Amino acid sequence: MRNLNLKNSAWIWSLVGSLVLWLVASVISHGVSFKLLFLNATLASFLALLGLGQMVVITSGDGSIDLSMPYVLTLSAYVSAAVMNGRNAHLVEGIVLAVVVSLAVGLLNGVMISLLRIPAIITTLATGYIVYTALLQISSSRYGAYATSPGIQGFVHTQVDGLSIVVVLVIAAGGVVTWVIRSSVYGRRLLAMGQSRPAAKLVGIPINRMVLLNFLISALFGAISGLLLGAFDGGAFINMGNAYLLTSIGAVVVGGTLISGGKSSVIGTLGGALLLTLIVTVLELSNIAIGFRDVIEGLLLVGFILLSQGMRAQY
Amino acid sequence: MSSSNVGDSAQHNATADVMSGMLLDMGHIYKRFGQNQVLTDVAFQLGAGEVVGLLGANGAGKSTLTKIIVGTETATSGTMALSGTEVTLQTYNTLDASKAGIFCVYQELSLCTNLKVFENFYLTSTNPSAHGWRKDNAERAQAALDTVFPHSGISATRQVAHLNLAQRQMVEIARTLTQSASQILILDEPTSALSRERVVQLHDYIEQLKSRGIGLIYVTHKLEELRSIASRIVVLRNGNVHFDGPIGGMGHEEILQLLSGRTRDTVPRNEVSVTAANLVGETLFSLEGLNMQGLHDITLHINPGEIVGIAGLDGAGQRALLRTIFELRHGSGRDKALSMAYVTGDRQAEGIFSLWNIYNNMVISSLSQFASWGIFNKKQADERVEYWYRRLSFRATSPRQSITELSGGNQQKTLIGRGLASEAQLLLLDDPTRGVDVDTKQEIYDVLRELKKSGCSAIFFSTEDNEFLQCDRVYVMNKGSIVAELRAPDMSVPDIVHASYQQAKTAADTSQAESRRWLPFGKLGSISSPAGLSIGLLITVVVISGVLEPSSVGTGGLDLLVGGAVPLVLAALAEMFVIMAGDIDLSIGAALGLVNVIGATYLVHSPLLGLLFMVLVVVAYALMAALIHVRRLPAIVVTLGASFVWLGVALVMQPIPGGTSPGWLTNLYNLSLPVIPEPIYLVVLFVLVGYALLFRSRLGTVLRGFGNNPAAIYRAGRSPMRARIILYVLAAVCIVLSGLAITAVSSASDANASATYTLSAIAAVILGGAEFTGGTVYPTGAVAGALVLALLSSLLAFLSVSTNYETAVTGAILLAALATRQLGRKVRS
Repeated sequence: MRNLNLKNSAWIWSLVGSLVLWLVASVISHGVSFKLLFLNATLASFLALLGLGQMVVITSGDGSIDLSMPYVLTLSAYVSAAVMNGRNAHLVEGIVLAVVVSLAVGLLNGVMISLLRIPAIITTLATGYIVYTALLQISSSRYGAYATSPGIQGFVHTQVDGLSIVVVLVIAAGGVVTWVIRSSVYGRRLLAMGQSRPAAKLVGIPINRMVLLNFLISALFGAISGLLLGAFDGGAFINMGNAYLLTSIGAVVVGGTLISGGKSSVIGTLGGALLLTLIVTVLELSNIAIGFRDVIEGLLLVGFILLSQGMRAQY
Repeated sequence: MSSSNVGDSAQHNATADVMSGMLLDMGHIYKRFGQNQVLTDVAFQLGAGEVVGLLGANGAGKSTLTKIIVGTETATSGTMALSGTEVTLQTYNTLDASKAGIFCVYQELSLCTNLKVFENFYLTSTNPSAHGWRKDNAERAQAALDTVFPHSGISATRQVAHLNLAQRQMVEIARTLTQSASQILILDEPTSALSRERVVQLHDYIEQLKSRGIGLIYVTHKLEELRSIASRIVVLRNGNVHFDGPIGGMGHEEILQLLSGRTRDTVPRNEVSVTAANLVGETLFSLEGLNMQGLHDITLHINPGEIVGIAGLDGAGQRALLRTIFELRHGSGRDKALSMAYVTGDRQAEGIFSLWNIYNNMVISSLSQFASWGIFNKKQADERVEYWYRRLSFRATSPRQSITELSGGNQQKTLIGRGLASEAQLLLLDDPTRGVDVDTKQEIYDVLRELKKSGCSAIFFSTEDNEFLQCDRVYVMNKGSIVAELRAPDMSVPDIVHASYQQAKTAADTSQAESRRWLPFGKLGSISSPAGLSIGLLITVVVISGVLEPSSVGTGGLDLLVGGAVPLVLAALAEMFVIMAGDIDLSIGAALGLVNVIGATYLVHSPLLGLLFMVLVVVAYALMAALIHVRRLPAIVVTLGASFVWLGVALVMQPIPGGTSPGWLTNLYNLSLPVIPEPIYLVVLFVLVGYALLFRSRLGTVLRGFGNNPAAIYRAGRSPMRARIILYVLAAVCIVLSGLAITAVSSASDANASATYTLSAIAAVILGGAEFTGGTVYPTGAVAGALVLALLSSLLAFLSVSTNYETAVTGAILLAALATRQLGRKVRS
């Protein structure tokens, strides 16, 4: 049923690209090193989690994109750190509250988009602005850094045979998402609404409920990523999510998920996150001036999009 | 049959064609799509003043043949001569076709709905009209409409979006048929939405065209129409010419037989079996006095095992009724939920899931039946899909075949199979046989009849009146009301037609009452008119600022405030041009940074090089547009990649912030002009130029048309790629101006400083009434939107709100503004 032709397997490019970049990095740093790959995989994990949430939203079609994800990530990191306050006593409360607050943002997005029919890109841009203001308030409300609990910090730095526990978690999450999209009623409905909203409506798919669910899911992934990244960095800071605004979209699209919706690839998204991380690593290793690094990164991104999304023009 | 002697005519030499008035002579045409041989040795001739009916089942090759004639498909091999002149088929394209006077009325229409009727006429017009082109074209379009369809009531200055389907079809027909240079006209199912009266008008006009020596190819499934208009028919079957000869004297049945190869009675009537349920009156579904969405006092009922037709003139509310019934499936109040399935005839727009195969397309309606705990159980589903796949006798390799590889008829079977597989008690059939060949139609009728026996019911809407003979009962609608109820076996097509013209007694009164009731909300609607919203916001912001800080609206204050807003105004205009193309540019902020750097460095110490770099930015945008177009890449991610490139180049040119503004630029930006400050003159100028360019110029008309419907632009013989490139170039020019304005305002440059402009520019354009789908943008609105966002920070300062809240307020205003607009839109519709 799944034949491996290139048109249906655009995700392969993100993996091939990652492999090539790893080899390039190995050549530059003299010697093939799994350590380098694992380190990059760890760094890519936070992006990959955002990517999975972004993928769900993008797959739902209608030009949907969640621009609030990086802010949700930062929010989750701040809330968890503020509650944990550098100790283990309020570990669980910190995690729960971070998730709840993030889901509230997702709920706001979902309600605005489904009931008021405001385009997702604008809604999430606006909620992102609002969350950012909240973050400014939180960060300026007290002196000193926000630190997460040692318990969760210890957890994210755990390694399994040299592989970070975070990577294991991400792969597990990827497996769950793959299974849900392929085998659940929700997954099929998601793919259907991504292909054609009017047709989805006529087969009785509850579009509004689905939109709400999608944005809750993306918010959940934002929350998890923020929790882990906050723990990984030891605390929260105001611009920790900024770098992910555009790359969370890039990872998804490079991975072969159709930006127009209706077709997703979990492996591609994970590969895309790794690829984007490796590009940065290789460019840093290569000692190229910072401006040229950006140019090369941009051109590579366009090149991979060309491979994974390109079609012939109709006219 | 007679295909052997037809082939010879391809040998006709050119002189013979000219003498006999042969307009089109095609011979030995082959066409292959991959493995699929679509046309085999097809010969086709069309003489001057001749109407040829082109017939064939779905997938017989009709549309491929017409596409080759209009140049949208290239034949694999064969010969073609136009008025005796041989053409090279390998290079023949739409431009050649329109030069040769070949035009086509497309079944799926090729109008740009955001344009006015006459602007659509302009797109395909070849008449030069230098001055006052708008008035000129409007008059010409009105004359064309009145000639082809007298008393149509369509004004040439109306926007197409406000016309119903029948009216749009009339516009499309009138536009094509009145082409001044036409030689050959192709009409592909031209009357699918037209009433009888309009069909007669069309045929009258075709008679006129015939007498002028124009040749017409009439593609249709409606045999009665052909018998009244065509002199000859060509029947295609499996890509071969099966029959080519005069239609005169041929019976309905005879033609049907040619089409299907089967002998059969004429469309058989539905044998009415009055079931027990019918007599007892145990209703499955009923409505009493329903008033909504243009429907008035609808009372109806459907019994188990009954097929009920909904007839009437086109646009009498049949489809709205079907949709309303579908919305009621969950039950409301005392009604209980009823399982329903909706089968649409508009396959492309709201039927198929194009990335899926037949199986997935069919099973989607019944997911929850095959699921436990939200997990889909494939085994159970396989059985049911397999059953309906066999029952509907698909012409496909397997249920795993991709739906886009199927012919229209088989796609329609998939949709019907989808409805049936859900085992709904009530099927809602919305013109389910649209554009489907007679064989498939018959199969669909058979399935329905069988379904009845098992106790299922159906509500059946069709655009062809004779299809209602399949029904047990027919409700006839007029202007949103049910005006008659007819019963088999006594009803006939003339009965239905007669009833369709009946007026409802109370309809007029209710509609009056309704419009009065909505009046207070109508005002809200006008506030939310596209560009009005951002202008209203702008006035509010200025007034509040003036009240709080009177000096801010004085000359000096405005100079400062608006002067600081000019870069964002220009950035918003740049984003507007990209959104016009249906794209989004995420690289504007980075591109502004690059121009800013060039302006503050190279433009100061080596102006020529600086100028060259600016030109290169514009060229880069043109290339980006070409790449996006040619490879159909999502603009949002290409521009995402481009933003890294702009930033990188800017950092290479100037790694750390610095530089200075060229003296002439600073001076230019600080002119002291009479009455009002310079920035206000600039902003007004931008608005006027943007408006004139998009809404008054001919180029703007094409650009707007492109944003709305690129296919229509292509069919009009214009280049969609050129349109996209022009839009990106216009965007780049605005970016260059905006970047220079930033340089002038800040007297320095920083590659990173303008990153926030991207999202602000998008927000400004959307606030200004634009739609992401393309074709709908308003320069006035975008500029006002940009001013609102730019002035907001000073307003907050006057209100002594912490600057921390600025982004949140921006976000909240954006959401509130759009929510208001959506609310207004809902009220108006």
